[in-house]
Amino acid sequence: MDGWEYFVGIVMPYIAIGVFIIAVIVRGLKWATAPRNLDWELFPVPETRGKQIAEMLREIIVLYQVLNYNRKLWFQSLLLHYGLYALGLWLLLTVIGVNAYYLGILGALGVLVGSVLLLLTRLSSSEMRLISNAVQYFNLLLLLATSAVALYSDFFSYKIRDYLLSIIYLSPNPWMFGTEFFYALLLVEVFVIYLPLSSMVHFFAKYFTWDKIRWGVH
Amino acid sequence: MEDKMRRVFDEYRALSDEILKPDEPKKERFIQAFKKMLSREENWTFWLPLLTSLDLCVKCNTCAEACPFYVASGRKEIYHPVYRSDLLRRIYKKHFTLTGKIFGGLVGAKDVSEEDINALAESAYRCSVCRRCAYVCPIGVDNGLITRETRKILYELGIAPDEIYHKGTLYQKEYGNATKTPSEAFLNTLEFIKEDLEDEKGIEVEIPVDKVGADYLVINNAGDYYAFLDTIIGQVEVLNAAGLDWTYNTPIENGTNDVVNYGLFFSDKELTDIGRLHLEVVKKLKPKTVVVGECGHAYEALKFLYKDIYPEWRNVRVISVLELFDELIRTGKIKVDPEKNPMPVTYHDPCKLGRLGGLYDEPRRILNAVCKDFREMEPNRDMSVCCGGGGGFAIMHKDDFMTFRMETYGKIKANQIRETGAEIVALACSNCKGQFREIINWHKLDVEWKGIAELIANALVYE
Repeated sequence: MDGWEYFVGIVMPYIAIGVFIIAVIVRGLKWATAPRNLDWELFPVPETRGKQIAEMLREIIVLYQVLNYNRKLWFQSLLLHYGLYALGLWLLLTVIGVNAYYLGILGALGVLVGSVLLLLTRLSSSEMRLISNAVQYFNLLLLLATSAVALYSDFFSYKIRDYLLSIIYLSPNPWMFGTEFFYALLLVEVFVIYLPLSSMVHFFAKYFTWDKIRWGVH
Repeated sequence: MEDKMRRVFDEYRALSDEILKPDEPKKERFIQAFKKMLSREENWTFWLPLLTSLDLCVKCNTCAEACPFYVASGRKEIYHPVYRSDLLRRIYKKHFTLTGKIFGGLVGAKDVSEEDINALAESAYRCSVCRRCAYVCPIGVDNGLITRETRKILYELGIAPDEIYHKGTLYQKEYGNATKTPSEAFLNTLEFIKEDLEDEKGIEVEIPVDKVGADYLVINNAGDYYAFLDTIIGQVEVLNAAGLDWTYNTPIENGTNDVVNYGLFFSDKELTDIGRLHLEVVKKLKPKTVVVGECGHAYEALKFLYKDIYPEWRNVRVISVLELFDELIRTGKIKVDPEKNPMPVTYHDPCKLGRLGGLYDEPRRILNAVCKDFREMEPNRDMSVCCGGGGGFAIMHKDDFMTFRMETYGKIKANQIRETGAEIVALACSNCKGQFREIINWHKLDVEWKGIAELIANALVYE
């Protein structure tokens, strides 16, 4: 095994997980401990906690704001997000011992197709090109590359469970995989590190922008 | 004829040369003031919304369609809401983020020139902070807030439109109202209202002033007593017809009889200073409820913002006059006959009362009760389009600024009014009234506007 494979398979998983956890905690704490801002709600505000949760679920499940106010972007966004949801579920199921191979494949396909379509949408819209920086393209290319290489390397085969468990038990053992797997793993690790540091952190930042600001829940 | 001011951003100017001083270096002071805004202690009022709005935009373009100014301008690049926010965001990234310092333009970080600061200053007054973009944003990024925070930074440099600063909040602090109206002149106006109602309608009314412990202290935009007196006359008639225990107020010592708080548009310090004047009035008159007249931004300030600035304000019950009127009609304290307003009437949702204040049903219940033919303007309620009078614009008119107001926001509203076929536009906000007065003239609309109180008063049935 090459040195880089050793690093990617043995060391970097812990770096990625560590950075992810620390970044989420640091950013989360920064926002959670923010001084209470002046009320800056946007109405209508859901009147009860139940209705607020329902509205947030609607956002998560159907991306309601995009569906309602930016339909041209909705299908691509939905594919990408559903792909990510599926991959999250695949990870969970795999770790607990359920072979969810096809769910992983579907999830990666969703991310791949979604990111390609979003990239094409961004490139073909003069308005979106105007407001985009390199980082917006990088985000999509990272998602595209990660999902494509993961599919190519058969990343979602059930044998990954042993590797995932070996990481959890602090004795990582990636030796059963070929070189392609390590390319995919490297990209996944980069994504895990990058996710909470980028604007993609909205997966949990939205709690603050909606709950604390838009709805004024303190 | 007034000389054209130097163009620094587009073909308009909101800030005079004396205030903007376009040839004077200000970049370093701007960055220092920006640093202050990024301090959670110094800018606790809006630190979280500012940080999240600067950090989280994914450039999805959802806000573009929601911005009336951008759409009405023919989608000029410089008016895109994200372009405007990025004028500030790029400085933030360049000077205050690690990624910006390392990756520079790749992550949208860019240093600015003195000319960029001038452009940014003018750009901050091309957005009325209607927050329609924030309402549709899937992430919760608030371009309107970024505009307001930019204005706050500029205020630290002494840059703010003289109409809302020097002739607005500073007048209000010095004279007790932004119209510089002495108490005697104010009382004379009230006398005139009494006589007018007696002469025109044969109604004798009382107009209590500075009454301590009244059920309702009603505070109007002082400009209404000059520009929109019919609204005030209607209000007096309705309050008397209901037999309420109410009062107006003079500025009193260290107070104000003007409900406006233009600090809301550009400065937390000014917002706080004016809030103190309102608090002083409440402390002295001890009303059970403070009623905000037909004024959108004042409702936002008194209802939502003061309570976290002044702990004493948490005990102050604040309602809009719309809520009071709605209650009077629903409880039968006043009787109204919609046949008395037979013409088709439409309603414009003021941003500050609707999207920012949640008063959607009250005006509709009122108008359905007092008008025979109430018609909705489209879009309405939470998606209502700003008229272009918000954010202080209604009283700003130097250079070609009126053209900006009329040919962008104003053009959209004119078309919306035409589509309703209404003959009357009902308005519940002084800034909207100021803007619609101009829209109707500019776009030659065959409609008239009326305050909500006027329409109710016209529909009153005396038993």
